Amino acid sequence: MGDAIDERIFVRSRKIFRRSFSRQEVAIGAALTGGLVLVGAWVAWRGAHPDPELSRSVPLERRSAVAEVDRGPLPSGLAPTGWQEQHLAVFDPSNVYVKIDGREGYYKSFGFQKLTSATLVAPGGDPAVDLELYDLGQPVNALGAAAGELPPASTAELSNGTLSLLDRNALYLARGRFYLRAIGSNESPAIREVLGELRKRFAAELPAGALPGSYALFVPLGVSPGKVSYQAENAFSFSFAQGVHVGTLPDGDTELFAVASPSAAAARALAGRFAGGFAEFGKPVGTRAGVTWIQDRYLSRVSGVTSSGTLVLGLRGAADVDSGQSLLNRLVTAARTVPPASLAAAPRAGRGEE
Amino acid sequence: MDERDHARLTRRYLLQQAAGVALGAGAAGLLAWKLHDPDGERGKPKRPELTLPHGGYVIEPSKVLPVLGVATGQSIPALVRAAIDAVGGVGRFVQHGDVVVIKPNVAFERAAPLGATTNPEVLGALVHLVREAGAREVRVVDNPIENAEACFVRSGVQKAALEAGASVWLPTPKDFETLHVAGATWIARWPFFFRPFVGANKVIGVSPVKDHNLCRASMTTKNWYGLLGGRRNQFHQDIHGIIADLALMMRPTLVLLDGTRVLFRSGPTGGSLSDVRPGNTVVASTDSLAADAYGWHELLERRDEELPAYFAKSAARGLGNPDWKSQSIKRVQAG
Repeated sequence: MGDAIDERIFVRSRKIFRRSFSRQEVAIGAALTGGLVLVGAWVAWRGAHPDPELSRSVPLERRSAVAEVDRGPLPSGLAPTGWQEQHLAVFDPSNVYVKIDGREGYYKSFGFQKLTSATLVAPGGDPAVDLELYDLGQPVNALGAAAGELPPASTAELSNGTLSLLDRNALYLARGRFYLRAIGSNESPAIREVLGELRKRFAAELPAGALPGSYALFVPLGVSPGKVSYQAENAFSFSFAQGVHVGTLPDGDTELFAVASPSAAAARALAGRFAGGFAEFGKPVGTRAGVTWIQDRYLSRVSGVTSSGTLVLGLRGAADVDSGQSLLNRLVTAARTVPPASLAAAPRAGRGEE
Repeated sequence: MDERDHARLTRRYLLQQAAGVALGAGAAGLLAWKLHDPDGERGKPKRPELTLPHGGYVIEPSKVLPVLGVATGQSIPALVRAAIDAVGGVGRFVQHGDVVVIKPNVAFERAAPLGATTNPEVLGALVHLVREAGAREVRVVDNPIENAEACFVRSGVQKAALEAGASVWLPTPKDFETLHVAGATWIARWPFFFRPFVGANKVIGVSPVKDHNLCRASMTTKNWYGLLGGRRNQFHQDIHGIIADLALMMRPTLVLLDGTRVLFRSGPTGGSLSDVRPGNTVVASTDSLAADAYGWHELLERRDEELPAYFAKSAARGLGNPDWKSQSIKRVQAG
């Protein structure tokens, strides 16, 4: 190389230092250029032929929820002869609002984990039955969610670990950790027949789970199985009242309740807090067997609470002190036959996004 | 390089070269900074930020006509007509050549009798009236929670709208634009189902009366939620605040409260016919808060309970008067 090249410290302008390229260089250059042309052509073609899915009416953010899904616990072959099963979808806590926006908080308060939904459609598209199968993690949650949605005047049936009610156009069924709502588009005999079959299928095929001790505790005292509920938090609007099992007697006013505590001392302390909570809304009207009964200043019903071992046991809204104390005595006696562990609070699932 | 070459590298020459390099590196850094787009957002084409007409779609208020028209009876077309007649008749709200957007609540894929959606007969009767008044075009629009087509079909709203002479506008992603709502807390800039509003000059809301798990009641004000896009569930953090924003966002020409059925529990989705009772009522009003407060007291029958917080929040913005008893009201027995 001559002096002119040696003088360069930084290249100031483009310059070709050879008069020609080798054949190999030309071939490589041609291959690269050809590759770029192919990529460009592919991009142009894709642009001219977009995925038709992009133009569908379903908003993009919803598509993930309607992708092909695992049926999970949903039995197969649910559609009656001639009917079709459609819209199978699964939702988790992050996207369940896509299905039940505005209502999801209710199920999240019962440990919501997964919703599997589908629709059974008769020939011609009508009538139809919507299935909503909620996995709530624990039997106590499934039973609690069901109890909160059963029509007030209804009487649910408890059989072989399954709580169910067929009411007009709707089937409510709780078994194990699952809660099923099957909603008919009308209350015709055809719909009720389908709901009856679904009741049998789900009662037989959903995995069972141990019933909470609240059923063994409250039902023998006259509480209908459909009126046994579980309040994970803020029971009776008391912020400290968590994991409370409640049974409502047929009079609609008297509620039996039970809470499991970690120790007898903790149970005594919690019973004191309940008593203090009741006292904020009324005045003492008598003491029986160490239980102070408080009369609600608005409702004129009486409430009392005690502890027995690690359990807090109480009555809310009894007609008077004597009947309340009598019922509380029976509750304390019944509680001796129920393992406290069966009344333990359900583990709290993440509330997810709300 | 020999000694002679070193001698050629003058100080001036070296400084010039170094300055050139520094300038080039600086320019490259500036270019990189300008083009930096870690999430790809800056690379997207800018979409215009839109607003609804200043003052909304409201008509001139009347000092003579009632604020609330309440019709009760069995015949739904008669109920709709009577309720609107009670507040001045459809001619007060719709004139010849108008392009009218009607917003029903079609949020869920539920059959009409379950009360989770606007009664299609009420919608059909409303569309008929608006067409009679000479509207050039009637657009029925909603962005449901569930699949839009399925919701419109199952609820019966699509059939009723089409048969009555309206067009149905289902949402697609390209129909949403960023709407600027001045003074809003949560939706100052939010995706809005805008396309149906292009060229429209009247807006009528027609919503069912529903219990609601979060805000306690869903009626004409909450109904505008169905015009929003994006991840709407995040509004649940302050549901009353967002409803007050909705009242600010949409100032309609007229609202109809469809109390022909009342979903009094397990809302907003419902499901059981046992959660629904007949209301046999339609309320027409130019004041959404008054209509909703009437629905709360008289249709949901929650006379002993305080109004949900969104009433006070909206009223504080001057968007209506929830004290319906203090306002002029005309009750009509129809059909």
